[in-house]
Amino acid sequence: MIMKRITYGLLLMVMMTSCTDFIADFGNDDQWVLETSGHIVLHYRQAGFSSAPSPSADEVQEIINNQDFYYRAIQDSLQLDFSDNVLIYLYNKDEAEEAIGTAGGGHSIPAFLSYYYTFIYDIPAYTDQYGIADPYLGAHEMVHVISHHRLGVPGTKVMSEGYAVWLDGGYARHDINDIVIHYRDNEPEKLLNPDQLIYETIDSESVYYPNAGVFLRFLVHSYGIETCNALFTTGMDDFIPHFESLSGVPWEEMSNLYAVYLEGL
Amino acid sequence: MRKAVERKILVLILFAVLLSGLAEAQNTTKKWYAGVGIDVYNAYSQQKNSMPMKMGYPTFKSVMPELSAGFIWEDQKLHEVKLEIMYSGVLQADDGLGENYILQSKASSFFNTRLNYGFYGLLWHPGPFQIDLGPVGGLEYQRRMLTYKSGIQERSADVNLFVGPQTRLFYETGRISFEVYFASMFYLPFSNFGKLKKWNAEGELITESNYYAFYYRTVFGLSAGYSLNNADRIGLGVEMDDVVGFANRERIFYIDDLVHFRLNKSYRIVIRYYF
Repeated sequence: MIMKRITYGLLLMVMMTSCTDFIADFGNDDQWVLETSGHIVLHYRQAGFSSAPSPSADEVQEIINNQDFYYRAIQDSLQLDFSDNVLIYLYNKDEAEEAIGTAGGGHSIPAFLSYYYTFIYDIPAYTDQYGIADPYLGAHEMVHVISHHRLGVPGTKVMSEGYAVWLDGGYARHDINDIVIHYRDNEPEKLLNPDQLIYETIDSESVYYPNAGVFLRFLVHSYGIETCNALFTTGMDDFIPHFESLSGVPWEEMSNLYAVYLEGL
Repeated sequence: MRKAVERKILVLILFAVLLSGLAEAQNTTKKWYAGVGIDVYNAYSQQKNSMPMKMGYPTFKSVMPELSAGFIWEDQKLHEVKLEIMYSGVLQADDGLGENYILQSKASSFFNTRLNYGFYGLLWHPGPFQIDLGPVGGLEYQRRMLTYKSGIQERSADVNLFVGPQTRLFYETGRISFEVYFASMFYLPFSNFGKLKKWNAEGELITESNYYAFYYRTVFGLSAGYSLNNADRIGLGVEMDDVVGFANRERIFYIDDLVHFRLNKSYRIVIRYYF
């Protein structure tokens, strides 16, 4: 009886002491070199930090200049003032998967005005919609930080990711127009209508994100950025009636116009 | 409506358990205590947001005073009711290199209060040592106000019920006693409620969202006690208090539609007087 109680007790103690690591562990990651300019605060790795290359001084400056440009362009597009600093943590490619969960991009945490990204030194050639050639970091995560911080917690994926993809203009370093035109002409099952976007009927990011970006661009051009900003925090269940009350346009009419817009791309 | 009723029932159950314990205490060894402490609070960012998550910089942090009071009694088991309160009117941000690029520190604040009840039953008594095991649960209210450099403000406030197991190793020799203890507590999405609000620099409400958290909290502590001539006792303890988890718009156990999260590591030094 005593042995049984001891065994159960010890098992319970082992379980209790080990299971925080199943949820989260501590990065304790403070080996950074700092470069700031305006509201951009870039943390990056010093040369030789790991086997993969760290950004050179010229690359650091290029990244900061580009992010500063996006910072201002996003505010112009959203017609919102934003004056907080944005902190960027740039991980080397060979450590990024373990440190931030991906070696192919990154993610943002708007409450901490921060985003975490991979320095992809061998990045494929690509010129974004702002005319910036081969940017190491695009505008996507900066859009998340600014839009979530100024507009609030997004109520739908289509608004959160739609804003970021629309204002970045690309997905996986391809123009979203080209991707959606390809879907329209060659894989029409991957062309998503507004209902599929609102109700997230597809899991594939490579299908969802470009569609969401083009849809947001259409919404902004057709109904104005104020309407879209007002919809940013609206939940899935209220989205359609809220859209109709803000725009004065029936959802079905808007969906038909969007189908015509896609045909015209 | 149904959710509000569920919450009230859970609160009532907690207090019923607590009061039944107090009622049992009429004819047993009883002691009150009062304590003061220093709490070092660190709320980390979500450096990696897939499971298992990784907590990293920047962090919001503060060193704050803590007051505590409690009542312990012993029958077949050792019971404890404890109230803890901590508050700081200053929150710093640290980017990992010691710089605050995010917060207006003096306009940011943190408040936490917890009412705990738990008891220990004897598990094993090897020689002079005693190993105990039992449940612990409680009610927590936490409020954090962040004022960013731009003047934008974000306030998260939540009420949580938590429950879990606790264990301790106790050793006593003469007037001196030592204790090593560990508690793990679960905050479940259907037993807590939070609200996140955000205001722009002009003070206009931008957004508000309800959230329901799934947190896991562990407390690991070491304490030493000394019995005085009049049977009163003083104690000195240190604690590590970690909370990890996330809060969604819906009552779910996985990350989807994330509104808030806690990736906190706190350290505490407490002095208590038992009378």
